[in-house]
Amino acid sequence: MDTQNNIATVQAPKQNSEVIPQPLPDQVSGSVAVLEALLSEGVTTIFGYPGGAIMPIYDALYDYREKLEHILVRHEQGGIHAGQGYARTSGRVGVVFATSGPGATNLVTGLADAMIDSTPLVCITGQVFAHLLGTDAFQETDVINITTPVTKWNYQVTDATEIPEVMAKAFYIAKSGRPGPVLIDITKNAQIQKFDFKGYTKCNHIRSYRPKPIIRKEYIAEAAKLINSAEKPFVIFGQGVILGKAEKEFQKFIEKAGIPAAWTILGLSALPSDHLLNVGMLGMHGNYGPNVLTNECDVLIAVGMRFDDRVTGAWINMRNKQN
Amino acid sequence: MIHLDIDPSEIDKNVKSTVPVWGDCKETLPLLTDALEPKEHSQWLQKFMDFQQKEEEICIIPEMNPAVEQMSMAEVIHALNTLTGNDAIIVTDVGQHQMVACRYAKFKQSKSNVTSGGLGTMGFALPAAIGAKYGAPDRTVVAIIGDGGVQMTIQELGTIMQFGINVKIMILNNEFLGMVRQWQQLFHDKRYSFVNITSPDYVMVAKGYGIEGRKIDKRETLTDALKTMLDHDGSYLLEVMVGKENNVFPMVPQGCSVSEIRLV
Repeated sequence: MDTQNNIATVQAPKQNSEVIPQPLPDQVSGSVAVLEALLSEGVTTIFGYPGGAIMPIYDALYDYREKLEHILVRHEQGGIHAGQGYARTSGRVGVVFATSGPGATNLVTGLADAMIDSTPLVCITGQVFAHLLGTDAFQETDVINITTPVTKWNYQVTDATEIPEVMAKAFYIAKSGRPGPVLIDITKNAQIQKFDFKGYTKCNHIRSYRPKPIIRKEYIAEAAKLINSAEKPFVIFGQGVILGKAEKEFQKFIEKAGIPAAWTILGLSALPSDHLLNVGMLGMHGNYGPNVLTNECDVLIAVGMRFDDRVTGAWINMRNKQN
Repeated sequence: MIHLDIDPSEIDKNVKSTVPVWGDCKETLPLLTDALEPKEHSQWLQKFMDFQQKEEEICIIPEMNPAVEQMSMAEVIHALNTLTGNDAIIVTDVGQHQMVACRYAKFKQSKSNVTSGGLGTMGFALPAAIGAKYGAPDRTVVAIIGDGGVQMTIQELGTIMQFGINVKIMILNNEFLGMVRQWQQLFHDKRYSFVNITSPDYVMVAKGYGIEGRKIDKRETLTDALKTMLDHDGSYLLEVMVGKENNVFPMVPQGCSVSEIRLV
């Protein structure tokens, strides 16, 4: 254990750095703009792994090591899963750095995982110089096409002037509405390129993107009517309760109407285990009562969950037969 | 069927709803609550309790008190609950240990369960536990991992070593890819095709990374070993040998209705 503590002390970024804060020059590199964006978004921790195509960002990070703690993982998949773990326990956006080519492809499993489990991430990948795109350059891979189905949004930056706006959009998209992973691929020339940095403005609106659907009061009334007339109402809830930070609202809801509530595996811990109305787990290996009584309830209320086949069993088959 | 969701594309995707309640549940739930009549459905709730009792008798009590020498995953999780006061962050990987941990782990506060739900990514837990600790530095983080999943991302012990990250790593070792083996037993005439997986000496591996560890296979040592792990100042690896051919029940076989759930 002594060894470990010694290593930790030696490596702790806060103890061996003597960075004197200086005002930003008018012209900054794309790399500095990326790191300034992270600071403006309140990021403190990055999980990552350096490599050739992301070296300018890592070079800039050297001067930011006091403000941005970088955890050097052992594999990019480890980095993105760590970002997911961070997002899940903190309720904030996880940030991951990786280089081009294999660094980027090693993120794919984590992106798919974060996509299906609605985990907010911003991943920054390095990319070969823009003039080398499409030449099968060393460690070049078309990460945008590879990650399109497993990201909420992805984008390739080849011009540094785009970086502040793209980073702001990345964070907004990752955490708004139903959260998810965003990947920003930045070519090496854009990381190096200096441009007039006019500061960073957070994004809170994108045309044609509606993260929160407008609440329809008539549906609320209709739902309340159904619940009020129910004799055997049953609530099944998922991670939406946690992602929406609505644990208290949820508890009040089930308590007022006295409705038993069962959770999906990702909804677990949103309602304390010993709550009287917590009747357990749904799904293939869930509890006996919730699974059997799903078929007996007269009104089923699903909150922030998506009816995975592990939860529905053969409902889908049954529904298809009826149709 | 009433479906509350922030993502309109989820409405009617897999199951048709009668009333779709679009929106952020932080806003829709209070609106809905205001419109509800206070009620108690005690008879209906009692039905859940009755089923729960039956499950306790047939599944849970035998699982937590096995009549055999080998430990069960359920009794390990139960002992962990007791020692952490139900207040640890539990990070799980994928497979039998994940299902058992989710069934038996108890929680007091939200954001305490971290697992790969939809994708089912083996190898998720060890690195996710690292991030979980940075996300909640004041809480105890326990990664519960099977002997299959841990070998997929075991290199992250290096990250734990370098940054002195205080995560507790508990390997539940049944010397099998247990969930696949369970399916082969139940649905493929016990033809155990490539589910027999060997493990390195995890305690020695951890030692190589400067992480202390211990391996146990006896029930009498369980509480003491868990205590040592939790009280240890820094990361710790505990390998617990559990019954080789234990199954996770209840189970709804794939393609069956949820009411065709099997208790044994």
